Amino acid sequence: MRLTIDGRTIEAAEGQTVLQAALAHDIYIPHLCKHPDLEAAGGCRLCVVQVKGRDGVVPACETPAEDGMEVLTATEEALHIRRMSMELMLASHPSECTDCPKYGNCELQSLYQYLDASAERWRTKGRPMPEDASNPLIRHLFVRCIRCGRCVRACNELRGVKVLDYRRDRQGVRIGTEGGVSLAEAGCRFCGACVEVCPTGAITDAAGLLDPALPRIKALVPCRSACPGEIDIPAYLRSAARGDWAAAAAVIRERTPFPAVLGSICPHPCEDRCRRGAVNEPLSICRLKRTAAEAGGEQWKTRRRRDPATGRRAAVVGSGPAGLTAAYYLAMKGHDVTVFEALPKPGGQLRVGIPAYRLPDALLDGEIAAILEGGVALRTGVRIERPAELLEQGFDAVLVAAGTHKGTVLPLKGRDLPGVLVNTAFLREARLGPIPAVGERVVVLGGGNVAMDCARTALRCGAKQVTVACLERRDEMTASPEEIDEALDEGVGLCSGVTFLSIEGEERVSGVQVQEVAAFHFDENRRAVITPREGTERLLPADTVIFAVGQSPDGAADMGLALCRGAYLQTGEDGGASVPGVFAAGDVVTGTRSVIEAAAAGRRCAQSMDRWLGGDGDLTEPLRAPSEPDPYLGRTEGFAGRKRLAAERRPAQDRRWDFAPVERMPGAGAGACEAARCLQCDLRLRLGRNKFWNEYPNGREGV
Amino acid sequence: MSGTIRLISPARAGPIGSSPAAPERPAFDPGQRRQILVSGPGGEAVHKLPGRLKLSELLDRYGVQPDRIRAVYLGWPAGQFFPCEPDRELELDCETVCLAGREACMVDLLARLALDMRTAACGRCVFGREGAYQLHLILSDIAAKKGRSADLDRLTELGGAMRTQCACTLGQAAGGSLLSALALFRPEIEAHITKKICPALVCRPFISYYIDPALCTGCQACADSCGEEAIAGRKGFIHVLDRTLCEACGQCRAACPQGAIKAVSEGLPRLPAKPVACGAWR
Ligand code: SF4
Ligand code: SF4
Ligand code: SF4
Ligand code: SF4
Repeated sequence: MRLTIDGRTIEAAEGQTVLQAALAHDIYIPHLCKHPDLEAAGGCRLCVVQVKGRDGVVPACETPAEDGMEVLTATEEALHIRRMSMELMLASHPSECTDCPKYGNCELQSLYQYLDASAERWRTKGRPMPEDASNPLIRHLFVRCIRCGRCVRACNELRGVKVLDYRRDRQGVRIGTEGGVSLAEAGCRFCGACVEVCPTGAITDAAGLLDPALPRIKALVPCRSACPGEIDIPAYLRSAARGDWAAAAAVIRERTPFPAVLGSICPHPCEDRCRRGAVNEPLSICRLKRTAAEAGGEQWKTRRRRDPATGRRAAVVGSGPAGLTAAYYLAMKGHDVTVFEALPKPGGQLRVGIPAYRLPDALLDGEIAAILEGGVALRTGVRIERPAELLEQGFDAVLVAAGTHKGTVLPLKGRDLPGVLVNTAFLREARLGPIPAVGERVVVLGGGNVAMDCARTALRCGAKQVTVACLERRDEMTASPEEIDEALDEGVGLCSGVTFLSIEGEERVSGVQVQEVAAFHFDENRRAVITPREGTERLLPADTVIFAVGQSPDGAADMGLALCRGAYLQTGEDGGASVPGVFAAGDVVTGTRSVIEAAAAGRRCAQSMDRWLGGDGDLTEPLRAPSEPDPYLGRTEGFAGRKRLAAERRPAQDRRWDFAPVERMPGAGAGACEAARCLQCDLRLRLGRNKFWNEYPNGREGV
Repeated sequence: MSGTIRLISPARAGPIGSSPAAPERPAFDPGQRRQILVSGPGGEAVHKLPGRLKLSELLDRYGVQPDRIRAVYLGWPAGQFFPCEPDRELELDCETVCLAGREACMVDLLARLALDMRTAACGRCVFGREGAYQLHLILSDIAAKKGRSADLDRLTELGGAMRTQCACTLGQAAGGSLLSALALFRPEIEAHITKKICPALVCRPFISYYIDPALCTGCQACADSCGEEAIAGRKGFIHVLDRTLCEACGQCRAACPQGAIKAVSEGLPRLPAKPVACGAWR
């Protein structure tokens, strides 16, 4: 159908209102209580227009477009009503904008400027209402509310949560929860729809909530932006909550071939940023990956598509998370990929750095098998000393992802005594066998997760007494609190805040001389500057000492590639090393980082390598049917109070003796319940927004 | 004292919550008799009344002479004002009827009406919510002697806009109520604003009390009743009221057995400055 607006003839679709038709053709008609995702309410009367042949002015948002209609948007009466409505709103609105959280991004502010309206003809008197910052995530400043009802419609009609509504009090009508209870008590799902649609500063994100360093859409979904692998966390939690674990697994697999591994050992930076943490406890994002990997089956494989063979060959040196991830994606891009692994088994640090009680062999084997199945050739027991030579052997690109397999030994007296071990070798032997011999009393030097791994492995190798000694105080240790707790539960002793003076012993180690530390810091060369406390020297008796103070690449210096920071491979932006065609990624470049960081680096590097090999570098791999999330959340009683799924661990007295898994991963049922706790922070990003008048050509012309 | 209408406890509040703004009302059937709350100078009473009747019949049922009534208001808080014309045919499509007595001040009545409109507004639309809010602020300012010269224009503009632009019939009717009041009582409202008088002597800020020296017997009843100690005098002396202390509460007026205490809103007569013996003032 056709209608004319201010003389311009436009095409309108059946069922469109005059306002919708106008905006769709970039013709601006002022509007405030209408939001693209919400039903029209006809309350603000800013969109009043004159329709030829009808009396008076009518709200365009509630007037269906009709064929042949002639609409005038700026008749005297329309302008009068429009401006008067704005004046009336302003008359009870705070007059100062500058201290408002919405300042500069406020629809009300922009509209009163557009209409050039002020309240001075009327009685200006606000309806006082204190700021309410007591709710998590959401700040209410209802003194700035203009009662447009957008939040009410969002919460009721769009989300079906029915928390916010018009309430009557002595001052008249305002927005709030029933009985004025907190959002949590009222059943709020903290979906943020109300924040998103509120045109004013009345409902905003809590002060300081959003990371100012991130663009808004990233800051609003902090879990996803905290994940180095950029896994679409809310999407897989949503599928999991529905019980659709196949879809959940597919979402994760779209970004990484290691869902089960990550679900077992990822340090989950996402959980630290999870917005639900402000409500009660963060989602168990990490463990649900493992559940997805196990309950999700192999359906994703049916959608996996390997590109036609390119005839190009890529070599990957090292089969850790970085190397295997890159290998997988390069194979998917149709390249012929061979992975070289120096050790007898693939997996890199996953295999020999992480103890089996945290990451069982079978699980790792399963995940690696799926990668190899994708068309990756593996050659174990082959050490590549000079990666660039592979280019001469017919490979078109080489990735060095050799990791950091050389443990750091501090230059202490006695470090060469028998009984002094180093983390990397110790953990490797524990994994590959034979189980290393340790004495009865073991002291582990270091305060990170690897130190905890060494200590707990030592227990399992037969040590009677294991002590972790480290420079940091307990609360400064770099090991994650969970791992410290698990170790202490198993009987590991902690001697924190000490510096190591020497390793004592005649023929064998007999102990470590330590001294308490008053203070320490790291200088610009990242060397520790320590102030010891006089007279606090003491001997920690030991027959085995294990260094767990860091690790570095093994043999990188002799690879014929440029180094940086001493021992690490130097790379450019795209991951390219100093020889064209050779790339490097993972710990061998960055130093020891988490598995997900290494895997993410491997993926990024695979993009560059694909381009180098003539591809487009696009690794996107849709493994699930496209689906729209359901915006209607509905009510869930007690939603805010629902507790985080507690980790189920074998009792410490049982588990400390063997290498069987410590933790039992959540099953599909419990996992779905946990996933349903997610606030779905990404949902609000799907909401539209009202464009400001200056974004329309005729808006810029003014009233 | 003023015989103004006792206001019905804040009106049936409009709907609240996200239910539709306008309540479903059964269609008006003039043949059907319904319970109607009538309030007026004689208090509140419920009468069973037909849908259509003459004003004189209504006044009869309520028990008041037409000359004691100056206007009739059908509906609450939104409704319509009519002058007191006994032969007028009324259509009672409402639940309440208000009879404004001769002594009533329409500004005072409208200010209270506006407060009820403000609290009853469902809040969904700007003209209903903010319109009623402004109505109340403006009318109570006028009643408080703080009226501004532009106020009548503002009220007229507001009434018109509310009648056409409110999203529900309740708000539209509120606009209509205002317009009907302005049509009937404009001079009285104007007097409050421009002449600063309340002709009905109801709005306190406009009222000055004085003691008529010709009637005062010096009985001291008024001085005893005054909480502000605004009245001076001894037994047998003409008492004198200090208007700088007087709060215009009207206690003394009720206490005086002689009817010597009088109210004006303009033009005080000549009065003694100090108490003088009764009979000594001429
Ligand atoms: S809080 Fe915001 S969205 Fe809700 S009614 Fe007020 S101004 Fe509108
Ligand atoms: S459920 Fe969503 S829209 Fe409703 S109050 Fe909570 S955050 Fe706002
Ligand atoms: S809500 Fe908008 S108009 Fe109101 S004070 Fe804030 S910025 Fe200004
Ligand atoms: S609540 Fe869900 S979407 Fe929001 S941060 Fe946590 S996991 Fe991510």
